[in-house]
Amino acid sequence: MKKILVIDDDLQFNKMVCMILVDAGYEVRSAYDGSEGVKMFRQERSDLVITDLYMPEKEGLETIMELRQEDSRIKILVMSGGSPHMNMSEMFNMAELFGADAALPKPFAMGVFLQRVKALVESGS
Amino acid sequence: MENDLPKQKTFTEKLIENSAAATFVLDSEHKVIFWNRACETLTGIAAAEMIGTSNQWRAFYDHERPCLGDIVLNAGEEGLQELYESYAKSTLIPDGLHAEGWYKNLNGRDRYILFDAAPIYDESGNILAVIETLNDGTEQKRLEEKLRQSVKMESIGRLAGGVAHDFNNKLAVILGYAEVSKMHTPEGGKLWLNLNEIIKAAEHSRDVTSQLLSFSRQHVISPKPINLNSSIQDLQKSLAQLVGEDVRINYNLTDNLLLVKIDAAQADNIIINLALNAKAAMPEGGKLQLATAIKTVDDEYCLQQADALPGSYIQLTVRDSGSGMSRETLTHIFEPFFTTRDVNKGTGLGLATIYGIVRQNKGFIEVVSEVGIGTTFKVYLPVFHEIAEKVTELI
Repeated sequence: MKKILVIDDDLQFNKMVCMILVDAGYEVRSAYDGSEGVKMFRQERSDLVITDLYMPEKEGLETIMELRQEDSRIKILVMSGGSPHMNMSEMFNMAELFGADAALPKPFAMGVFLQRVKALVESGS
Repeated sequence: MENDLPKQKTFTEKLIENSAAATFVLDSEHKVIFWNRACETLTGIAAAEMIGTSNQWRAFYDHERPCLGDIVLNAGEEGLQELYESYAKSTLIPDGLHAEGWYKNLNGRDRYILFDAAPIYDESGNILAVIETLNDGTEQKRLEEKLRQSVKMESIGRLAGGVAHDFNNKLAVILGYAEVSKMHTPEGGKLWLNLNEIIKAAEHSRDVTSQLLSFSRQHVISPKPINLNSSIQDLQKSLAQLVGEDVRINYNLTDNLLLVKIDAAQADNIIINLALNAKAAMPEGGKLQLATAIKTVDDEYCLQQADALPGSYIQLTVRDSGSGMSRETLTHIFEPFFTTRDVNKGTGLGLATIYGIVRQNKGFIEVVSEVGIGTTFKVYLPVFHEIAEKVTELI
């Protein structure tokens, strides 16, 4: 079973994404900020990490960079609903520069989300 | 000493006459006794037309009303609030007054004038006359307004971006749960239909936040070099349907238009939203003109126009013969949720979206409007130079 780690500070969103992924047949763990997420990833590798970009404690970009340092082959999907400080296009471009494999703006249609997850998980195997 | 008096009088007159500050003097009967050269230049009215009359109001207003000097002569501040946009007691001269405001067509230009009026007393303390000076503060006021406007739009943009971020997270939760629940519900049943309504409402809200993100320039875009003429031509059919048969559309597209680098969907969004805005301004029908041109923007123009930077631009003009807008309305039209339309007849995000898109693409918008005459939007988008250079090489 493919393993996915979800990092998002929005509790409801995090819970919802985990539910969708579990229903789709993935083994899912979740963290509510970047530091916790990186710590969990060190304890147990995942095939895919889905992370928010605009978070308190540890920002998404920093999280991506640390995850990438931990494992150069890990697949990373970033998701964001925008930030009051930064242009979303620039934010996604930067996330990709920092090592994210794909980006998805929130909110998304479930079909699109699952398709993206499947493609990333399969490309990593 | 007595022999020097005529000399002194002449000298004093010359002082006023040659002062660089536009100055006029009223006697105690409110008649003009001085109207200096700077005043002639500023107002466009010759001293000969003013001296001996009480027509000083004609220089500034289209109807008879007191000037600041008249108010000082009346030794009161009554009516100041209604007469001037801004006023205060003079900080320099006792019993003097200061006022300022915009004046239309003052010697051919709209100007922001700062008035200062001060009484001249005799030995017994009676008012003999009043001296009023006028300073043209147009350039400074425009710069201040330009700065204030950009700061305001930036703060609104940040606020809109912040709201959209939180709202998008919650919308994602609503949509996600509704979609999952729908999958586990028998199709066509009451619950399934209710969930469908929730999804539709959430999708509509997603479109609203998407527009807010456009305003705060956060939309995910893929800009490509495009020809705005092609965008307009592709939309011709849709535009005719959008504005209805009561609005006649006229196209004036410049041949050999240079390219702009913009997301094609954003270009369509600008054109459609401006057309919809024009339609709303012409409920009884009218004329809508869409034109394109290549324009060079210089430093002088940039002083007058908020957000403008010198360079080569493609200008998209959308002109309607609708109801027009007041100066006050014009200062708010690009703010999100600002609308002059009836409730439920528009989200108030159309122009805010255009503003965001144009700024995201390093362009700017000029708006000219006159109540009862119509409105012209001129959207400037930077010419895509790499391609422009290649085209020049080919020629």
